[in-house]
Amino acid sequence: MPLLPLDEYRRMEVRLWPDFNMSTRNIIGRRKFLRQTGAALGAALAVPTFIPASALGRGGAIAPSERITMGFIGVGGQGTGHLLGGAWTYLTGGYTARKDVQVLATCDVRRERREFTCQKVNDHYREVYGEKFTPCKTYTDFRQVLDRADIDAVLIATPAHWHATMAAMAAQAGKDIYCEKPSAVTIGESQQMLAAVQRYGRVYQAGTQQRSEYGGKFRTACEFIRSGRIGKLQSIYAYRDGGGIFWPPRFGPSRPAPDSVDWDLYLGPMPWFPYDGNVGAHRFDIGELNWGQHHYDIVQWAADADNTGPVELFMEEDRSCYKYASGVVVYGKPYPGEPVGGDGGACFVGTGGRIAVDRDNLVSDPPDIVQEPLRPNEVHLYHSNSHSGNFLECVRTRQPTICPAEVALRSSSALLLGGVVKQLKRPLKWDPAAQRFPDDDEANRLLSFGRRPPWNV
Amino acid sequence: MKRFFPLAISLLALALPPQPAQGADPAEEDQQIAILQSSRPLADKDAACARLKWIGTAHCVPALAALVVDDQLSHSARYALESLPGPEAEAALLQALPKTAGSKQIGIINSLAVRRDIKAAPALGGLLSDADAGVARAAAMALGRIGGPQALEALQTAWSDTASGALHEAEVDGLLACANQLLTEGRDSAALKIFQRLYDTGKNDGTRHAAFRGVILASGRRGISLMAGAIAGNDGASQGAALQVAAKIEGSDATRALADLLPKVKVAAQIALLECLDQRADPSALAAVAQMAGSPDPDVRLAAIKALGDLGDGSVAGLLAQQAASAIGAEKSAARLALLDLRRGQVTPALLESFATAAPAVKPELIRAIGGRGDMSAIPRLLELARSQDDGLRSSSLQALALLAGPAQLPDLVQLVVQATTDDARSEAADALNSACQRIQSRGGHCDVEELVKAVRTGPLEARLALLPVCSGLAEAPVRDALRAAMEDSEARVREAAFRALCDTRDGELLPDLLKAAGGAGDEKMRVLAVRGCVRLATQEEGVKLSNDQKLAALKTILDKPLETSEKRLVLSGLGAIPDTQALALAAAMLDDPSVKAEAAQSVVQIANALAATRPEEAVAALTKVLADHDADPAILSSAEEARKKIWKMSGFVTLWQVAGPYEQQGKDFSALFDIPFAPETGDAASVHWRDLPASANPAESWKMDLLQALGGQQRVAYARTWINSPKEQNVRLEIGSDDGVKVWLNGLVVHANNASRALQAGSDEVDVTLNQGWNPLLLKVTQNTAGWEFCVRFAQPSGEPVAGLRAALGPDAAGR
Repeated sequence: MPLLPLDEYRRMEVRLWPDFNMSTRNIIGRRKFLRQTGAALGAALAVPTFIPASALGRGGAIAPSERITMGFIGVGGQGTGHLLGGAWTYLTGGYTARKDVQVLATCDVRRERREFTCQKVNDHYREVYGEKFTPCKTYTDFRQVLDRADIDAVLIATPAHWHATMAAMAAQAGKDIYCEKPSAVTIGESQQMLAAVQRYGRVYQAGTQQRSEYGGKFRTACEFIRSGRIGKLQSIYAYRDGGGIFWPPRFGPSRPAPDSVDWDLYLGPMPWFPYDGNVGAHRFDIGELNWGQHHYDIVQWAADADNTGPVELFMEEDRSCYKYASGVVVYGKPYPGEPVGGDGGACFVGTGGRIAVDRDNLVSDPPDIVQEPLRPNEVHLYHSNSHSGNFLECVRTRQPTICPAEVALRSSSALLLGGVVKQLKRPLKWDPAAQRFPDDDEANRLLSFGRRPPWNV
Repeated sequence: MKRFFPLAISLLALALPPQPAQGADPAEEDQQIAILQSSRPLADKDAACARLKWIGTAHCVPALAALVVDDQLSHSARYALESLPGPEAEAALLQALPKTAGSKQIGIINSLAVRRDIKAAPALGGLLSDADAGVARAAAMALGRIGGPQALEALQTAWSDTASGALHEAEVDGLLACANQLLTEGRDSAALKIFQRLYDTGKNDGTRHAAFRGVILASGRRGISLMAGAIAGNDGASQGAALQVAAKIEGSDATRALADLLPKVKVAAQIALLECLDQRADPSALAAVAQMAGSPDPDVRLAAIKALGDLGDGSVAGLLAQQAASAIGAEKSAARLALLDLRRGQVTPALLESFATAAPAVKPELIRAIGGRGDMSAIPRLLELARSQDDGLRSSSLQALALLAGPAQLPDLVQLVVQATTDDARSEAADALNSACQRIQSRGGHCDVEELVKAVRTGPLEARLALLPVCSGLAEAPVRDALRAAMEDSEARVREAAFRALCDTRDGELLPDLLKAAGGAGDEKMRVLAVRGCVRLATQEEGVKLSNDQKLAALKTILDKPLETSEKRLVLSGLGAIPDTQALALAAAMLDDPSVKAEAAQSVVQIANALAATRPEEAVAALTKVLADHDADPAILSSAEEARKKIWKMSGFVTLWQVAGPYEQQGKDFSALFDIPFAPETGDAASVHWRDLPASANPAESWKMDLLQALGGQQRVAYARTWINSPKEQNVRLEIGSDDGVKVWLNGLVVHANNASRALQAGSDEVDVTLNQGWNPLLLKVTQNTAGWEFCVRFAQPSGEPVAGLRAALGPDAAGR
């Protein structure tokens, strides 16, 4: 029905049923600004996951002594997904189902989580191995997991405020580490974490799995960009901006914590305040602390900035933005009119076109940029097609993972620097080599966040 | 931001300082200091500390220092002091150290560590023997962070070879940190002493691993041989450390040392070394890596092949091709991938050269690689090889040409077809030509068809027969003409091949020809092919853009003739793809034909779904006809039922509303406003300004009423009103969705209240209500938290079916009755 002048509209009756003539119902398909790629991008060139046959149980079984023993610290939604498998983890049955892994510990400040997951693990092992296996045990205090000499590696999926502190402690205890994003909640603690991982020579994988998963779309996009397929890279739209952490109010009405929750261990390095029932993973987040590192990890990779960071930061339309020394500008917002990029990705604009990528799509304008497979003489980036597989392989070979602590520091810093400029709301300069704001006392204060004792690294 | 969880406003105020601190005025700092020194509640002092973290200067240090020793506020004060620039803050922390004990003291120690306060080293050294183990541990780690000669000496004095336990490990950590600091300063021999001692006395693998890493890094040139020795050795800790450090030691000496180890170490170490050499990207390791491709262990072979792809040049092409030919599974794929990955030196010439000596099974792998690499310089040689008498060679070359050939090579490919001497050669060449044409067109290129057309018209018979199918994939006038001519050819086999090519054509201009062929008398099988071709060309071919009317005209032409069941089915499948009421009518008519009623029903459902939004009435009518046949397949009935329900569900939304507001009250958030009555509900009609609420900007979402667009803002409410006319008194279901909360008055009485904070979901709330005969005023109150602000309202029967005769208007007099 066409829109009528208001007076007539008011005078009219409008039938609700059954003529269905109430209003226009033409469905206009969402305009596609960039066309989709063909379905099987580079399918002819698909690489098998490099997992040594022995790891997959050549002949069926792997001797217990050959398995990588693991402890899972933080078994909420994310941790349980890693441990037992789930829709998002693209890992059927999780680490528990892998024959080259033995899960020996589940640890959580919430009793029902650690007990539930432990039960599931033992049930599975019982089915596969009969009665002869070393059972998984539960822990409230992760330090007891770190104390176990028989555990090789830990997977940390605790709330964000624990990540860097716990990863550093795990390194000091001689463990290899898979740690969920965000890798750190301040740049200061990120540096401490990196120092500990390096000092102890541990293998570390950041939970920024986009470099490995999703059919290699992100890697392919970065390879195309770094090979010059969109000309000279000029700007990047990161779809999300910066993030950080806030100091929570400490004094309020108190209620007793149930004995199924260890509130003190939940808080960890955060300041003490009375139990309030919220043991969420992101309750201290500012801005995009939860998702941002996924986006900025890809931004960094595409911009060839894994060893460096921004030099200038500023706000635009209420979003944090920054510039690299190369001149490339990164905007913490969507590219106008481009829907691809929102799910973990970004839109990259160059002198010769643009590429947008996220977990579901890889598209370009003009469209043929992404249609041709990577040529031999173009840039080839670190190739992994399983983030967990890559981690476990590197635990054995001691070689750098695809997202080692050095990369994690820079990707998380890109995010956290955005958080600083969001809070200060004024332009900033950053020295990526010294990792400080030159001559800016006010900004430098936000590089660290005093921990509650006894936690320190 | 629909997933945003509302924080209490006070929390937000603390999380984000109300204004940037730069240039914050000293008066504010004084205010905060005064709070700290007053008897205000703890919460206020904590907030003051949090504020001083941002704006504090040396001026506030004494007030903070006084609190750093306070049990309750120590952490809050430290939060500010730890990052406060200047020597005063540092001194205050140091001074507080001896005044505290236990956990407070540990906190101060940690802050001194973060500040790297050298002056704290003596005091911290003293605490290494503190009775409180936690304090001693913290002091040890802090000394490591601070570094410098005093810290180092204190740690070395305290540390003992024979001790063990948590304090000992903390001292080790401190020493490791100091030693690494010395390394960065270039003081290798001092660092080495520490690392060596820690390695020799280390109590666990973690320590020894960390120490040995340091030993290697601090040993200068000797480090390489130490690294190699450890990798070849039996000690897990040093071997692991050596492998890990290997990635960091640059230079060809290191590469050589690592490569030399390959044949000497066990399988696990070989795999690690291969991965290491791969990541080092130093091609001087190539020969050693290539040797490993022949290892008896499959995992080693796999690792080697992968590394060869990154390190290799043309010299390993033959080896990889052999592997690709003889291996199976993961190794085969890896070898094929490595051949595509090779990127050093001149690879294509090497691949081509390998032909001369390659075994028969290997040749196809070489060709496959050439094709996959996309290097056009291989084309001349491939064209030669495509004429080979060797079947395998010819076949692979043509496959590669299918991937590589550009427009310039099309005449050559045509010639290969014309000059082929066997059927296989001819059909393979035709396939290659066809693939090349399709690939060129899909990339937006143009195919010059002159040679092809010439050969189709005047080439040898067998060549003409092989080339006619290639015409199907082209849409050019000369090809069209050649095809038409071939349909009339004197040779029967040519006529048949042309007919088949016509049936497969993608050229929309040939639709009339195809329709004529479908209607023509003759062989039934051919006619079915033609009908299929028409349906495909009219409704399914991506490159053929016909209007719905044109598509329908084509299908009607076919339907006008008598058809076999199989042909009717084909037409129905074509109709199903046309979202048009005429198509719907034609398909619905065929529901009466028992031989095709199942396919007709499927088409009706398909078309109805496509027309759901634009022609819901016709769609529902057709679906109802499908549902009238109770003997139909249950799966079809259920999909028709679902389609009809979906259409009903999209209908009946009330989109005629007036809005008043926004209303807000200071200090009250959206949920508090829910129960505060504003003018529209208090009956104070005169003060309320009602205005029309515009329809959604997005026609696809016309069922949603967008308050954010109309009014905007946060923490407020708005009211919406309309009048519903019902032909009789009846019970109906009122379905509501809202972002955020909603309260509903029908005929002046509250029938629903949901003080929610949520995203809009149509029908999330269902209320059974009674409508009076005549006009029923409907009033909504919708709250707004943040982000989206919208609602949708719909009336239906409880069963989901429509409610006949309901109308909406803006005002009971609107109808002008």
